[in-house]
Order: sequence, then C-alpha cells, then structure tokens
Amino acid sequence: MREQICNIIYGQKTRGRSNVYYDWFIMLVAVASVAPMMFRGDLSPWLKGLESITVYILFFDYVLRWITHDFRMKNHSVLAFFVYPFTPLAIMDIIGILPTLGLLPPSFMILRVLRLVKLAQYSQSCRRIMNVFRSQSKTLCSVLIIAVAYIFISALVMFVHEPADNFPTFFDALYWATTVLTTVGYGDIYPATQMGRIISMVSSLLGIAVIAMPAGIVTAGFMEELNKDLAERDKDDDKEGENDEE
Amino acid sequence: MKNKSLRKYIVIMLAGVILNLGLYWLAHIFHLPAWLDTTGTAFAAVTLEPAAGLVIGYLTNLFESNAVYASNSIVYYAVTALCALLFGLMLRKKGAVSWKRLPAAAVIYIIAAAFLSAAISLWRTGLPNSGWELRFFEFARTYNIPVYLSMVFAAGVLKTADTAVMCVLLPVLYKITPRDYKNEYYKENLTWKSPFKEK
Repeated sequence: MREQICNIIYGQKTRGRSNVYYDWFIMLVAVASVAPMMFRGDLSPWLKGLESITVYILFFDYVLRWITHDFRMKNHSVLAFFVYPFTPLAIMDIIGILPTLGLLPPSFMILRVLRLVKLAQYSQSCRRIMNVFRSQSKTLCSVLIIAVAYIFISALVMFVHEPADNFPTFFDALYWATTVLTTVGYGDIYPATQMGRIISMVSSLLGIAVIAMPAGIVTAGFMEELNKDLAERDKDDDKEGENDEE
Repeated sequence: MKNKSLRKYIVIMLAGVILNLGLYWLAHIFHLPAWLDTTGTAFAAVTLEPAAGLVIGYLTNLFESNAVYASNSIVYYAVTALCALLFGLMLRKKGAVSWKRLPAAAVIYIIAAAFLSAAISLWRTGLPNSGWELRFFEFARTYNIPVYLSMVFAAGVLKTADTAVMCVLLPVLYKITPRDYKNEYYKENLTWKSPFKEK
C-alpha cells in the first residue's frame, strides 16, 4: 500500500496519469488555500470552509509523504521517518499549515504563504530553476557578495559624507544604496551634495551590471536544463520506438 | 488479483472508520469515560498493515475535528498514528500476528498516548478538551499535582479505558474477519541503517 501511495505521489517507478492528476490536484489545493489571504476583515463562511478543507488536504498530503519517505529515499530504514519532518520542504509544509489550525500565534499567519512552496515541489519549471540555482550556486554567490559589498561601501560613504538630515541612520543609507543599486529608486531618500550625487550616478550604472549578471546566469542555466530534459525525452522516445519495433 | 486486494483494503478500511465512529458515538451517548475512537484504527493496522491504520485514523480525526471538536483538534492525529504504528508493528512477529504481544503494546500505548495527548491539549488550549478528562484533571489537581501531570493522568485514565476495550475487541474482530480480508502474513522490510546511504 505504501509503495502504491509513493508511486502516486512521486511517480517513483513510472510517471502515469495518476501522478499528473495528483500533482495538479495538490497544486490547485495549494493555490486555493491562500485565496482567503486576499481578503481583509472577517472571512465569509465559504472562505473559512475553503481554507479548512484545503488545509486538511495539505495535511493529509504531508502525512502520506511522511509514511512513504523510506521509498522516496530508496532506503527502507526506520530512521527515514525521523528524518522527514526535518527536511526543508516538510518544515515549510507544516509551518504553512499550523497557523490556520490556530496552533501558532496570529502573528504567524503570514507563514501561510509557504503553502505555495508546494508549487515548487510539483512544477517542472520550478524544479529546473532550483536545479539552476544549485548548479550555479558558486557564481551566484560571488555576484551576491559583490553586490552586498558595494551596497555596504556606498552606504558607508553616503552616511559619512551626506548631512544627517538626509541620512539620519546607517540603515537609511543601506536602504538608499539597495534601492539605487537595484535601479528601483523610490526617491524618499536622496543625496543633497555634489559628491553624493556622483556616487548615486555611479551606483545606478553599476546596478544595471550587477543585477543583469545573475539574470543572465539563471537564464543560461535554465536553457541548459531545458535542453537536457528535451534530450532525455528524445532518448526515452527512441527507446520506446525500438521496443515497439521488436 | 489486484481487484481482490483492492476490495480487501476498501472493505476493511471502511469497516475501520465505521467502527471508530460507531464506538465513539456509543461512548458519547452513554457518557462513558472513554473515547473509543481508535479501535478501528488498530484493527485495520493489525488486519492489513500500519499504513491502512494511519489512513483510517486520519479520516476519523478529520470527521471528529469538523463535526465534534474545533478544526485544530486534527493534531490529535498524532495519537491515532501512534496507535496504528504501535499495534500494527508490535503485534506482528516475523510477519504473523502474535496476540501474546498485545499486553505489552497496550501498556506502551497507554503511557505514550497519555503523554502525547496531554502535550497536545496543553499546546492547543492549555486544558483538557472533554468532560471526563476535565473531571479527572480536576480530581488530580485537588492533590496539588502539577498541571501537565494532571493532564497526563486524565488522558491516561481515558486511554486505559480505551485500550481495555480495544484489547477485548481486537482479537475477536480479527478472528471473525474472513481470511480473504486480512493479511495473515505481513512484514515491513525496514532496517535501522543510515537512511542517507542509497542501495
């Protein structure tokens, strides 16, 4: 029974219709479960009901994943069941469910959005992007370090050089540097001196390069993953064709 | 063959849910100091396999949390799951059902379920969630026993009554179940090796 459940959830042996239906069903439930978050004030009984039902389904999905985790790990160890609740996705699943059940303080209600992580678990595109982040982690980390270092340095320069009225705290300077580097520029904090304005201009120019770099890396990696998947699919189709001929 | 197996699972699991809810209803209308809503879970876990008990336990808890208690009482599923796992795994010796292990499984279940149930009640509301449990809790409190231990005592009394009924009914139900509807031999091929080493 557990093996069959595992096949339906993960499609371990063969990916059939039941896997696809299950994946779509859980994705729809995850999206529907966050729908009540789009409304303010007291929820109507329909929305309350929708949230309860969807949370019960997600909780059941959590239980099913837990009891089949040894099949998922391809290692029938009792310890696999102890490991499951501490896996990142399981933690996010349970944290997304508990606020609705009233088992966490109301301030934790925002954590309900973590239910959308389910989409990442089931969606092929999300899986590909996750693979890209994993394979390009070193490059992305280096870009991030450059960006953080630049934000810190320019914030420090502005904080020291600009009058206190414009940049009262260092956090304000950090906030300004981030909005400039990412080319957002809200305009609520701005430099008043000539030197500050020059730094601001350089920041804006650098920001385009720094922000464009990870975007390019992720896009290239995504295309690579996509081609890999297509090549694998072609290989499977060829194999099936050969089997049919035989 | 596959249909036969599917029918067996559907029939026993349905019987388990009916048993859970039926006995719970009886305990409710006769105001018995017990919940009796885990007998069907243990029955399916022993007759089929622990996973069947886990599914039945979920369905029972789902119904109870919607129809009787608050929606957050679904977390008591942890107690039900404990029941399915303990009875489903402990009562099988080399794959065959061994009733000699029933007393040991019952004692472990009472102790573990009492502590777990009290911990969940404490987390949810800070108080026991049923009439009889509250009475036993207040009784324990008159002896100045700390709150958590009083809750353990209250849950333990009700779990003892639950388990006593379960211990009487389980062998009888298993005996009267036709052979075609039970897994007379079932073994979970689990090891204690590190789960991070792939085969």
